[in-house]
Amino acid sequence: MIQNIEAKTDEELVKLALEDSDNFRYLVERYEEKIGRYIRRISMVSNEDVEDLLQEVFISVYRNLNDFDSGLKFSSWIYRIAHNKVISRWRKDKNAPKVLRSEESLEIFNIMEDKDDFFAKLVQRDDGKEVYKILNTLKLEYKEVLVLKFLEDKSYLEIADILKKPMGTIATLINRAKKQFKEIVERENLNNKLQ
Amino acid sequence: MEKLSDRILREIKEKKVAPKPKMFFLLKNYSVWALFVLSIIVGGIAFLIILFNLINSDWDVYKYLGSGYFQYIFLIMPYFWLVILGLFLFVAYYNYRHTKKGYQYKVYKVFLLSVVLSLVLGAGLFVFGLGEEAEQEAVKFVPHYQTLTGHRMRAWHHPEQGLLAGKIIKLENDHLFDLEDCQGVVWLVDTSEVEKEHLIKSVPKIRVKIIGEKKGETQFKAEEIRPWVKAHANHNKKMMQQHMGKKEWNNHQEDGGEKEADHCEHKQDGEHCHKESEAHKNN
Repeated sequence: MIQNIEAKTDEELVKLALEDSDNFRYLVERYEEKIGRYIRRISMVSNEDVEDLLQEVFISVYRNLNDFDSGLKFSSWIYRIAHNKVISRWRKDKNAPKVLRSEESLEIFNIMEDKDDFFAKLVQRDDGKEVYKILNTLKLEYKEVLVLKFLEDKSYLEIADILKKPMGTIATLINRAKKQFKEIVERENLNNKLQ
Repeated sequence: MEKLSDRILREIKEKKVAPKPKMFFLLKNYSVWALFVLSIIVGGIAFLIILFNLINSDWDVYKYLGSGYFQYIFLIMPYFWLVILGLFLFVAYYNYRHTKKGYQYKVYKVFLLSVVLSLVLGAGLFVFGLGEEAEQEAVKFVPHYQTLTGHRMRAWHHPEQGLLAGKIIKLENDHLFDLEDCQGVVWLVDTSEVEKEHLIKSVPKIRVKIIGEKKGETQFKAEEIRPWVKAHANHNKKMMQQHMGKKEWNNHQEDGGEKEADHCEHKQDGEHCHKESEAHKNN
């Protein structure tokens, strides 16, 4: 049994896992909640499917441990693997539910409240029921950047590493996601409804 | 309920899952870089041949064809190599994007990098006079190369309109030689009325372009003879040396022949040798 696991860095845990597969449990335990939540937020699948996806993600992480590049944050690397698994699952199963759960949508807007005036106004006037429906009409890549930015609280650099896109592109995607959201609100005349 | 970590470790053990070796990822990474470099090299060679072809195109002959300048440009463009250049620029871009950090750069930056590297390489090789060698190697290794790239030769194959090109296969006398055109037809070319400044040394195996007049079924009266390749003289010099023999070639050089041959073959469009060497006259 390894002592003081909490004090160990991700990189140290990777080395330990490579020395002995039993040590891989520390990485699983450190990330299962975060990755599970992330999968839930972007994939909108059932809890059972989240469990399956989580298992796939961690097996893939284990297989590819030697590919982990210390120039990258381990969390970005594991989020990237989770993102890829969700995308391939989503491509395989076109019938998967694509609706964000309302509490998650509300969470996005609660966080956005602090960060963006436009979203703040919306959240102040609505319990989120109308708003989360609109969020679900966004393209996956838009929804994903919003989740990573506002729910997972990732920096632009981390989002760029996770989605394997240039930072400038990430900034553009976030802006477009917000813009598209605003357009839908205006088209649906949601502003008036909310008043 | 079984903990996720226990379930994962059980699966790892049951299915004997093991981390892929580091060498696997290193090889994968190196392969992507190697393909990127290879694509840049092929792109560079494509650009070298494009440059070589364009510089060796005679931009003044469009008037003989009765076509406009832009139609002529359209006719002589080395499309095959433009396609190869475009293709390998894309392959270079694709591979760079698949390197570990390749995603950090915007599409246009990666594409620009590939373009600049290929162009610099191609231009560098051109400066070293490798254009013709590259094209000749392509003739050997690219299937149906002549069919794909014969546009320049075809542009010069208009005997009725006074344009003829091909390879000198035999010297009949000082003013007559046999020339094989791109269709394999042998022409008897009369150079007796070619002014000295429009004449180049006629040596078997050398490819030439001729402006003149068709006089019979396979007879052509030349008014001007140009070397097929103007960019550098290595190939033509080699041919001349082979034809003349070592001793004669040395005499030719002593007489200033090499200097004049170089001068002649480095000329730009519309310019030709002003003076022939004595060695040539003696031939």
